[in-house]
Amino acid sequence: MGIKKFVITSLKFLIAVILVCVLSFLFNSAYVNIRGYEIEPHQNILILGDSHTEYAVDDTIFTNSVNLSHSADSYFYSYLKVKRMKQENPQIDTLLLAFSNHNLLSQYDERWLLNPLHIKSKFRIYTDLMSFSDFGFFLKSKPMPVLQGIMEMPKYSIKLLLKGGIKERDLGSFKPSERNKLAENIERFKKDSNKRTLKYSEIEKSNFFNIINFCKKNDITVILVSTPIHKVYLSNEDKMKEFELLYSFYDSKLNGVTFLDYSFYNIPDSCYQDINHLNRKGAQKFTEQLINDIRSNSYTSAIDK
Amino acid sequence: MLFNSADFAIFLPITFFFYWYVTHKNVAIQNVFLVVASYLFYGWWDPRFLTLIIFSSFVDYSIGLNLSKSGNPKVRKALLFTSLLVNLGLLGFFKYYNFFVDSFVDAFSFFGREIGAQSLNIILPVGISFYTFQTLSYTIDVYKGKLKPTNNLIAFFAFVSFFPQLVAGPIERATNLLPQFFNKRTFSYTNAVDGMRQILWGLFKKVVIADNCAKFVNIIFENYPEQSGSTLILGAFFFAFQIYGDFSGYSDIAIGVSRLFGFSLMQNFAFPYFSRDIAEFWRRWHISLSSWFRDYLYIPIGGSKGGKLNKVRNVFIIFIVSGFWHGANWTFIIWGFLNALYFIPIMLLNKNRINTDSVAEGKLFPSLKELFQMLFTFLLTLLAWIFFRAPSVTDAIRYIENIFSDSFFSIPSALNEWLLTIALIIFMVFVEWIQRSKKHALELEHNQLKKPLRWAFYLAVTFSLFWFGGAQQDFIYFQF
Repeated sequence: MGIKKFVITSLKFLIAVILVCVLSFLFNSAYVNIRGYEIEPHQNILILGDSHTEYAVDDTIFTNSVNLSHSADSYFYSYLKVKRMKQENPQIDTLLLAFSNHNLLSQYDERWLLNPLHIKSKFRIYTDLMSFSDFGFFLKSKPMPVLQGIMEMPKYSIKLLLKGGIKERDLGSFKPSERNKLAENIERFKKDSNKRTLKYSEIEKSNFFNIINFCKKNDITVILVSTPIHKVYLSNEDKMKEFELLYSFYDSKLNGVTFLDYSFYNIPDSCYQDINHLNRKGAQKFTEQLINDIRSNSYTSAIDK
Repeated sequence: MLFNSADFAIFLPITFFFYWYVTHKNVAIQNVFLVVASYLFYGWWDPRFLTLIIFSSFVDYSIGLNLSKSGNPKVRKALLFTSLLVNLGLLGFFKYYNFFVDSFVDAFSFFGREIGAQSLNIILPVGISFYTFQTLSYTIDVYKGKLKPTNNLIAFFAFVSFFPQLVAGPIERATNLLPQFFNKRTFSYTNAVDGMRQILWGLFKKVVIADNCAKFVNIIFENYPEQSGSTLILGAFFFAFQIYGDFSGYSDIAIGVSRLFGFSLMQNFAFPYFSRDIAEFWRRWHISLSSWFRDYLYIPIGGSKGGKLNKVRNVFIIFIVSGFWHGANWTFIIWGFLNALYFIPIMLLNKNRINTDSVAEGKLFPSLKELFQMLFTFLLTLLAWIFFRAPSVTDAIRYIENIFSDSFFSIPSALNEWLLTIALIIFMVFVEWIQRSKKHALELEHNQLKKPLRWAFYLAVTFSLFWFGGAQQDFIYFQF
């Protein structure tokens, strides 16, 4: 008798926990759906990617763009974002997508896409954008971080309430940085001599082509962008091999897609916050150059809208 | 298997189900099941070390039986000696071999003689210090006639390997735990629900307090030469709460889990940081080990009987041995020595038993005197913890020297990063202060809080494990 009552009480508690999570999820979804994905009518260029574009493309200068890049975002998340943003903002006609040596390599899967910490932190933000199959993918790959992400839903609700939610651009934004870690980052980079075998990530490749195909279908011009990278990084033999692989991938698979490669763009050390991210000053210089290049080469008509 | 892991979250309900629904009709079958579950739990780390537990259990089981058969004092002594030799021999080899070899080499080299002894690459079996002491208590009690030896092999094996307390205690006495394996366990709803609450609070202390403190403790202790005096104080403060959260958290989970299976284990921590003197602290900290040493070492060597010199000697022995039990490093010995130094004055003044009740009993706030006493006792333990945590005695001394530098009154570096952890510690201390007369902090009575509020509180604590939990760390006491 006692044990039955105990099991029922335990189940009731479990249901209460689940209920709080479900209610939080519904609340978060409703809250961000009110105006969450809506951007200004003049903003027709969407910028997506990871920390490279997050720190490098200043959308306050690039006035008709909106930068929703987010640190450690894989193409999986960029795909979710472009679908929803286009749905809510039909004026979007150009996508600037981060495309660099690391984005398609399998060795980065565990570091970014399937990293438990990233799954946990991104899950609460992106759940609203996910389908059941997306959810199933993570649950199958990393169940614990997914559970942790679900349990963090109520915390996110509190954050939304306290900080005004989507105004914080949890989906991603341009992040001006004043950090100066270049010297120590170079030191660390030189010490890191891990040899890795270069292989494409099948998951990321598929997500990448999903983005390209989606854009084609919806008349969105895709411009692939790689942001400036410090010369020390580029002088590394292994990194160069990664770039070679990227270029051969682009040449063979992406016929007709514009690729603006600024990896080797010459920019002073004072513009870097670390070996592969620009600081505020660097972002300003780079963004101005990017706007000029797009405009002068007419890669997209969207630039002068 | 760690208590704070997904593996254990799956293991526990499955074990619970089989225990109460499949094997419940027969105590013997239930005990067999507990042995299997316990060996699975332990073997999850390294199944090779199961042989040690089985061997140790078998030796003490056999010695117990032979002690009952023999009336010859010499034979009985020889049997007791065999048990001590086997158990302490295994412990000594796995835990202390390298320490002694290195210490001998250092001692000889100090006198200008180089010897070529080599240390071995030995892995310390998890929990060996705990189950060794538990089996020893059985043999010693049987030898002394306090306990009848058991001929129930399975019950004895279940007693030695009982999974909730196998790897980090509480170190149970055979007189308390062994008889519980002979009787049919009945499920108590009240006990089980309170057990769940105790598990929840234990997890909070481990995951939220200890694991968060660990992050800062590691940074501060590993880079102590570059830290300011105030940051070093904060480092010691964090370690005091890391070790408390870690170990008392483990004990709470162990006791709570045992209650789910119808077992009652002894209390291992009784809110030790609310102690008014060091004697009270030691009555409240790691109670099962302190009382083990009291009963099997301190009292046999004379305890507080005899002249002052004898008393002082005995206190030094028990604290230094207790320090050495924690690990093969001089830092633990100095830690024990310091605690003996703290204890001796109040023992000589005959004031070591004046604080046997709970502080400010029946009141919300302590008096100024009590507050001062608690802070002073906490500061004494804080100083000793520096030796406990530092990698070497030299590092500990330098750490303390650096505290009293010019930067003693500066604002600790990166304080804003630590504020959340400090706030969580304050919350834990607040809840424990309110509940200090209870067995554990979540032992809420129905009239204390209304049901919806109680449940809201439990839910908040549950969610806090996920919201504020630090990166998963091993339990500190697994290495002892």
